[in-house]
Amino acid sequence: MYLLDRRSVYYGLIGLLVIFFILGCGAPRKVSRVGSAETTDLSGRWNDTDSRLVAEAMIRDILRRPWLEDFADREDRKPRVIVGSVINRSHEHIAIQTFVKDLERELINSGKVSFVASKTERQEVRQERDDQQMEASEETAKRLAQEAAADYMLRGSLNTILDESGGTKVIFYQTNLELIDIESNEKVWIGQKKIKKVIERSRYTY
Amino acid sequence: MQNSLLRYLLFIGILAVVATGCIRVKIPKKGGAVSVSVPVEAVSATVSAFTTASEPLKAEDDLNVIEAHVARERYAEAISELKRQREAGKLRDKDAVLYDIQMAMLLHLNGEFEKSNRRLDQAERRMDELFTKSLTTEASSYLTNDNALPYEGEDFEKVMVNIIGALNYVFLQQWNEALVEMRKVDHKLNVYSDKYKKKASFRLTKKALRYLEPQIHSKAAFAKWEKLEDLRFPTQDDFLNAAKEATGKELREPLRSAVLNLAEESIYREDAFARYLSGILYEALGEENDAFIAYRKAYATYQSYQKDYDTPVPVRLKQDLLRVTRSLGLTAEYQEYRKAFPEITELSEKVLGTQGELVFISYNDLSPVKVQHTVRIPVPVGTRVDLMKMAFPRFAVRSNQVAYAEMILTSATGEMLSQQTFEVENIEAIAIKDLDDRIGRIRAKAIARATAKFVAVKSAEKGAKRVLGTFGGFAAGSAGSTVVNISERIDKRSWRLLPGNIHLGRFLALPGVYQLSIQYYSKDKQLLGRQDYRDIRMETGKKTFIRSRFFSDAGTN
Repeated sequence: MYLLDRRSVYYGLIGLLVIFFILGCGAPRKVSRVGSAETTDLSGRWNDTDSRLVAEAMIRDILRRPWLEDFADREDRKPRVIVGSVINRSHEHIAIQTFVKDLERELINSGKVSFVASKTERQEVRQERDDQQMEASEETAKRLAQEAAADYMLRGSLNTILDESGGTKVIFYQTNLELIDIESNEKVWIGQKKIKKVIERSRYTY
Repeated sequence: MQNSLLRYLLFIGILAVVATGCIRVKIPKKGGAVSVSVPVEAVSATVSAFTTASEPLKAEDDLNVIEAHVARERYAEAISELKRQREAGKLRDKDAVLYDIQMAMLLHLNGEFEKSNRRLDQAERRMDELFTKSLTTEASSYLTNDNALPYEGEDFEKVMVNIIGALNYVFLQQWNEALVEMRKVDHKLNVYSDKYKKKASFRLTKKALRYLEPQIHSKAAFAKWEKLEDLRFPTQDDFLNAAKEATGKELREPLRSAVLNLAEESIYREDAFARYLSGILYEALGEENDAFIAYRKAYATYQSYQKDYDTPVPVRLKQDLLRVTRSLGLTAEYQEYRKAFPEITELSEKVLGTQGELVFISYNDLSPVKVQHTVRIPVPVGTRVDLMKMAFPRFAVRSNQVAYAEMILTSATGEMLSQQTFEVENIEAIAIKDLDDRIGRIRAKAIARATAKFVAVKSAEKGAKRVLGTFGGFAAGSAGSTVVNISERIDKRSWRLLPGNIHLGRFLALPGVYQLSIQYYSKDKQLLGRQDYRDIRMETGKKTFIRSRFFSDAGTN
């Protein structure tokens, strides 16, 4: 070969072989347990951490705001809230129910708010109650038309803004939740949580 | 110059030797280690490495069986056949994306929308991961062929993933999720747009000249334009200068922008059907402003579709634009569109408010298939002349005859309404042009690869001759050439189960239950076949979606 002398090719090959050997030998499967509060970002898509962050931010906010005290002063009881629709307007198929449920749980457990079953849940409960009228004993059958009506409806949306160029992608999630007084249509609380992620991918790997 | 090219090829060759060596290090085999002491031997070891990567790919025949099932609407059989082929090892790990999208299409046709979406989702994630290219597989593709690369999907196929996904959600009545798919498309198209904007060049193709002809008043003037046919210019200024030189005149408006529009080579970076479907879906959810943005983009894209793929701007889209701009109170835009489409009658809000809409989507025929085009170039080697083999892909179209379909809607009281479908996406034309846009790069790679293989075989021959004598050299040379001939194959993979084109029909009718009859016609108004749908329920202010799969020659298939 006249293009490269034999020795340089030889050393080059050995060097490359060593590099490939190091890169090529991956570790066997490794599993480690992490707390559910730990941040784990793999693909950059919406994940449990995002869901948790949104729920936490919303809960902190909603319990601090004056609407709660205002209602208690006025009505002398806990406000009843119903979860309406939370629309996914993002670029991903997201299980929005996870953070809505987190939110619901925290609010109920705080003892300051009570929740009314949602539309679909109600249907199921009503069916059971109707059934009780026929089948259950009179003392235990639950009465009809005694449902507690909700005072507020919680609804909202999840939006994303995406930007991408080359191997860099920026995802911006904005979750909006609002609490609406069912009688007066007044909005008594608006909660917002923004999350921004930068995802970088390399164009080449070995 | 030639020296540096050879040096580069040699480097790639060495890289691939090391790459295959690395694999062998991981799975130790006796005697399988690569000998690296003599470069000539190393190069011939690379040649022998081809054989393992070059099992014949019979995908074409295998897919024909599936396509025959699809043509007879036997989707369940098609699905189990595809599964069987995968289990029989006919699809490799590298073809995982291809398997998922083919399967998703079959599941979609079979009405298994959720399963179809799971496949599409998986395919999309894999496509995304393949953004990061593996240098070792890239290098080995330079030494074997492009089948060594994992299948990533063409840009338009990536968009089709979301279109089919959105339609799956539509049939599941999950409108918001369908819109998620459309938002993903929007993002993908934005990325493509940025990626290809700088690469647009200018060229007057035969087709572009055909559209230009009516705008040039004299035959003599047009003859001057014809001199520019198929010449490519890297920038707009270069093109305009050449046009000035050819015609002897400075270009003036409005001809200037018309010519530029015709000459700009638009690489696929917008998808009119995806935009149009987004508009329909946004409107179905009452989000008129988003619908307007989508319709407007669809309109702009259909204008270039006309030139690139012969797909005209749908009349219904013009009506949609007029209606939405009026309803949103966008007076200036409304006037602009009113002026642009004087022939269009508007659909009144009143009629729309009381009626339901039938959206009919028909997938017609099959997308084209890649075939191999082999070239043998004579190369002088010493005193002899040897042939260097190169393979290029080329698309072969398949029977694709549907020009339009007549939809006849019959109400319970026997009233009949009829309307025609219109083409919204010519996948065949898009696929062909897409390959055309990339063929330069594919050719360059094929040439580099053929040269590398040729050099490798010749060096091996020379080496063997030195050690084993003339006969040994001849044997090594012919063995090497055989390997090269087998390994030089094109990458035939494509999403072949996509239809050749997609038609849409939008039908307004009062609420009620209807029977629908579809008659498919060819360009010369020959009846190709018909389909009937029973008990279609239309509800006020709601959209009812129906899909169909049609083959113009199902009988002969």
